[in-house]
Amino acid sequence: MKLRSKLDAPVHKNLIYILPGLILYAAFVFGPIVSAVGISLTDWNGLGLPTWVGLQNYAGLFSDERFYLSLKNNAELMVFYCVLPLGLGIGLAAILWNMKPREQLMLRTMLFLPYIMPTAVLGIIWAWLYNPAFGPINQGLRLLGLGSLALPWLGDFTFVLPAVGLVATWYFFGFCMVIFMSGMQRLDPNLFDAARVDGATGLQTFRTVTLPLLLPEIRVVLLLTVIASIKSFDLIFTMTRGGPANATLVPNIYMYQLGFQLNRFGYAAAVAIIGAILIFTVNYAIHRLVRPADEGAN
Amino acid sequence: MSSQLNRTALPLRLTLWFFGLLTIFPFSLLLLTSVKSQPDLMRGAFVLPDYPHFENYLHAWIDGHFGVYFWNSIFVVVPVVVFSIVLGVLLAFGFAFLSFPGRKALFVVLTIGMMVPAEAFIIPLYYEMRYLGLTNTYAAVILPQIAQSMPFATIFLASAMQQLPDEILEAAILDGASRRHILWHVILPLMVPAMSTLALFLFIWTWNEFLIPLILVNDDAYRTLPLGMLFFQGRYTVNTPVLTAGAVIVIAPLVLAYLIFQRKFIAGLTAGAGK
Amino acid sequence: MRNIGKKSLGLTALKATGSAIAACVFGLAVVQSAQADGLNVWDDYTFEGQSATIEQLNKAFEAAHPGVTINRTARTFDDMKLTLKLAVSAGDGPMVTKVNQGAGDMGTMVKEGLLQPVDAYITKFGWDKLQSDSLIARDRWSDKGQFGEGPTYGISGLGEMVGLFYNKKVLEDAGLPVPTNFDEFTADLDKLKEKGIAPFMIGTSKQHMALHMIATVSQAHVDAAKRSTLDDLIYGRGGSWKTEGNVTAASLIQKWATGGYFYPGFQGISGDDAVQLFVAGQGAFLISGTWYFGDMQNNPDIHFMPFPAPHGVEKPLTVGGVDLAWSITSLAKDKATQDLAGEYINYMVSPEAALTWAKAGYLPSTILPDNADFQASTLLKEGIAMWKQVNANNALGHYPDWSAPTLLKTIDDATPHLLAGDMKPEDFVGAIDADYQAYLASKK
Repeated sequence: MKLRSKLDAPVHKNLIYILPGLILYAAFVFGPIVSAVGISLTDWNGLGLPTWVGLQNYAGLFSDERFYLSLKNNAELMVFYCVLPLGLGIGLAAILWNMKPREQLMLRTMLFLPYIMPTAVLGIIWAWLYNPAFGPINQGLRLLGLGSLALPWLGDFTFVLPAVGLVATWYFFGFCMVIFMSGMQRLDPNLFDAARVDGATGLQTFRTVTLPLLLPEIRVVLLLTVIASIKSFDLIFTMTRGGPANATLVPNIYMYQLGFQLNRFGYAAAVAIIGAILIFTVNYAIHRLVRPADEGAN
Repeated sequence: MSSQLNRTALPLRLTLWFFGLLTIFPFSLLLLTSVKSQPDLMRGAFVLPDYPHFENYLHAWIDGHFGVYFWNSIFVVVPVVVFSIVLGVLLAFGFAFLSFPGRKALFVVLTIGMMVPAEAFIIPLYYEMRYLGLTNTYAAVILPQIAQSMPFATIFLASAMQQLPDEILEAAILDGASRRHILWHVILPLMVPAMSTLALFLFIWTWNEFLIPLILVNDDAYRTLPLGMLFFQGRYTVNTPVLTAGAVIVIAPLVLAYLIFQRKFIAGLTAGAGK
Repeated sequence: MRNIGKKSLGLTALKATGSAIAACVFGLAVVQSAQADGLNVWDDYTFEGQSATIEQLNKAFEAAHPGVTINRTARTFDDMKLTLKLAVSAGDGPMVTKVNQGAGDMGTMVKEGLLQPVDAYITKFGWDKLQSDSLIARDRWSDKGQFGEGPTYGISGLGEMVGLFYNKKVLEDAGLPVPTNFDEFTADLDKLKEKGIAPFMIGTSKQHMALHMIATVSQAHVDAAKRSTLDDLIYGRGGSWKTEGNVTAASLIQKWATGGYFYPGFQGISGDDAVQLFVAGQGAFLISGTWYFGDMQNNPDIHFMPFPAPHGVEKPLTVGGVDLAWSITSLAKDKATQDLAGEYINYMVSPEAALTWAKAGYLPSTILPDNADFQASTLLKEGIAMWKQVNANNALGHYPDWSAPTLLKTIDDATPHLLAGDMKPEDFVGAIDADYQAYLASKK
C-alpha cells in the first residue's frame, strides 16, 4: 500500500493508464451487456423497432417448458462437466503425484492435451467418432464383439446427453488433475510423514489430510467447470444443435435458436440474462460454501 | 521426495496410462484418418492405408479454403494478443498502484465481463458493429476479443505486479525515476514470465474462439479456422479424410505451442487458477 | 424446409478489392442517371457442381452485358438464413439474392420492406409463360402478410420434388418387382425385411428426411383435384393439420421406424450420411428430394419415381416446390440497378440457363423445350419427365413447414418422439396443428 501512494499521481495523470482499456471494454463488452438487458425488456424481431414489454419476457420464461427442459439438461450436464472431472482429477492427481518425474511429465502432457483444443472442433471430431454408420466407436465395439452396444449415440434420447457429457469430461479431467497436482505440491510433506507415523493408510491420509487441504483447488475447479457448463454452447452446437427433440437443449442453445432462427431477439436476450444471473449466483454460492477450513480462523 | 514414494503400484500406473491413452486416442485416429483415402476409410476406421494420402491436406488447404482460414486466424490472433497485453499492462498498473475515482466499482464492472458469456451480449454487439460499419472486417473479430480479454489480462497482470518484490520498486522510486520509466524499465522486464504466460492463453482462446466470428463475420473471406471447419463440415460430410486433415490443420499450431511451452503453460495456468 | 441437405461451405472467390469495387459501385448507383454497372449477388449454390454452374452463368451474363460486373457471394442455406435479413437491413448486403420462401424469411423481409416486387419484370419478360402460376404463387406476399397472394417477390431457377429413390439392383437381387402402387410397395417392404435387407435407408440426425417422408406419404393421399385444402393450409388461409391422411402417414412411419424397416442406427446418422450409404448399396428405398441427384447418379442402379399412391388417388400430390427464389432487395435503390437486377433474374430463369443447369445434372424449374439437346443421366431424365407430369397435373405439393415460421422447429422436436414410438401419431399431428393455429391467431 505504501508503494501505491508513491507511484500514485493526480487522477488526470492516472487516467492515461486505465482509459484506453476501459473504453474498449465499455464499448465492446459492457455496453453490449447493458443493451442486452434493455433488449430483454422488449419484443423485437431484429429488424423493425423493438416494442417495450417490460418484464413480460421473463414472465414468459417461467411458464416455458422448453426453458425448464434446458435448465434440467444443464443440471444433468453438470455431472459430466463438474463432478466426474473433479473426482477423476483428484484421483489421478493422487496417483500421478507419486510417480517418477519423467513418466509424470509424459502423462501430464497427454492428459492435459484436450484442454487446449477448440471445443467447436472437438465437437465435430466426436460427432464423427460417435457416427453409427461411419464412426470408429461403433466399429470398434463390433470388432470387440460388442455389437449390441453399438447404439445410435447422438440420435438416442437416453444416451445423447451422457454421450455429449462424456466429451466434456474428457475435455476437463486432465485440466482438473493438473490443478490438483499443483495443489498437492503446495502441501507440506511433513504432514504425510506424520500421518504415516500415526499408522494411517494411504487412503485415510488422502481423505483426512490431503482432501481438506485441497479445498482451494476444489473451489477453483468447481468454479471453472460450473461456469463452463452454464456457458456450454460450442460443443453442443457442433454435436447435436440441442437435439434430438431437445434432449440436449441448454439455455445458450435455446437462446441461439430463439434469436437467430426464430427472430425473437427480446425473448432470447431474457434467456441470456437469466443465464448470466445463474452464473453469478453459482459463483457466489461456491465462494461462500466451498471455503478452506482455516480461512475464517486466519 | 523420498525414494519410496516413487514406487507407485502397477495397477495404479496402468490406470493412469489407460486414461492417458484415452485422451490421445481420438487425436491418433484423427491423424490416421487424415492420410487415408475414401476407399481406405470404407474398409474400416482402424485399417491402415496402403500409402499415406497427403493430398488430403492439399485438398483441405486449397479447395477447403483452410489456407484462407489459417491466415485469417493469424491476422486475428496476433493483434488480439499484442493489444490485449499492452492495454492489460496499463490497466493492471492502474489497478495495482494508482488511485482514481470509482476504482472498486470499475473493478466489479470488469469482473462482470469475465462471467457474462459472450452469448448474452452477442446480439447488441452485432448491431453495434453494423452501426460502426465493421461487420465483415477483421476489426469485427479483433476489437471485441481485445475487449473481452481486458478483465482476465488486468486481474492476471495486476496480481503479478503486486507480487513483485517491494524492494526493487522502492529502490527505483528512491532513485527518482519517473513513473513511466519504472513501468517500462523496472516492472515490465520482471513481468516477462507473466506476460508470456498470458500471451499463450490469449493465443489459445483467440485461436479457438467460435461464437464471435460465427455471428460477426459472415463473409467466407474473413472466417477463422474453427468457423471454417464448421462450414467445411457441411460441404464435405462425406469426405471424412479431408475433414480430418482440416481438423489437424486447426489443432496443429495449438499442439505445437503446447508442446514447446507446456511447462510454462501449466505453471501459469495453475498459478492463475490458484487465486 | 427444403434443400437444407445442401447446407455447405460457400465457395466465395477471394477478391481483395471486391468490397472496394462494391463501394464504388454503390456510390455511383446513388446517382440517378448513372448506368448500373455492378451487381452484388448472393446465392446458395455451394455444392461444387452447383457453384461451377452458377459461375458459368454469371460469366455468360457478364459477356452479354459489357461493363457489368457480378459480385457473387455464395452462402450456405443456414448461413443465408442467419445473415441475409441483417445484412440487407444494414445496407451492406446484396442487391439480388436468393430468399427462402415462407413466413420465416421472405414473409419477414417483405414486412420490413427489404424486398421489392418483381411483377413489372414478370410482365416485361413473360416469366409467367416459362413457369406455372402454382410455382410463382409461392413467392407472393400481400401487404397484410398473406402468403400466396398479392405482389410477387421473386422467382426460382430450380425445381424440387420429393420422391422415391429405389435401388433396382437390390430389388432384383431380392427377386422383387419395382412397385407400381401402394400395396405392391408395402408388400416389397415386408419381403425385404424378411430377407434381412433394410427396406428404407434414412438418417434423421441432421437434415429433414423424416419430415419429407411423412409429408410425402401424407400428400400422396391427396388428389390434385382436391388440393385446395392443402393450399389453404400452406398459404395461411386456415384449416387444420388434423386430417386422416396426416394421421395415417404418421402412423405408417411410426410403424416402419419401430418395426425395423429403417436402416439400423438411423437416429444417429444424418440425411447426407444416409444418401452415401444408399449410394454404396445399403437399403432398397430412400425418400428424399431431387437435390440429391448429384450424389445419387454415382450409382447407376438408383432410380427415381413418384411415391406410389394408394388406390383411388388418381393424381397424387408430390411434395416439392422450387429452390430459393431470386429476389431484388431494397438495396437496388435506383431504376438502373433494379432493371439490371431484373435482367439478371430473367437470365437465371431463361431456357438457356435451365439447359445449363440440366446439363450439370440439376432439375430446372423452367420447363425445358422438348427439342432440348443434351446428355442427361437416367436419374435426371426420370426427374425431368416427372417434373413435366407433375406440373401438367397441377400436382406439386408443399413443404409443410412453409405454413408457419416456427413449424420446422416444432416438427423437428416432435419427429424423434414419433419415430421412437413414444408419441402417438394423433399427438404428433396435434402438435403441428397447435403451432399452426397459434400462428394464425398471432396474425389476426
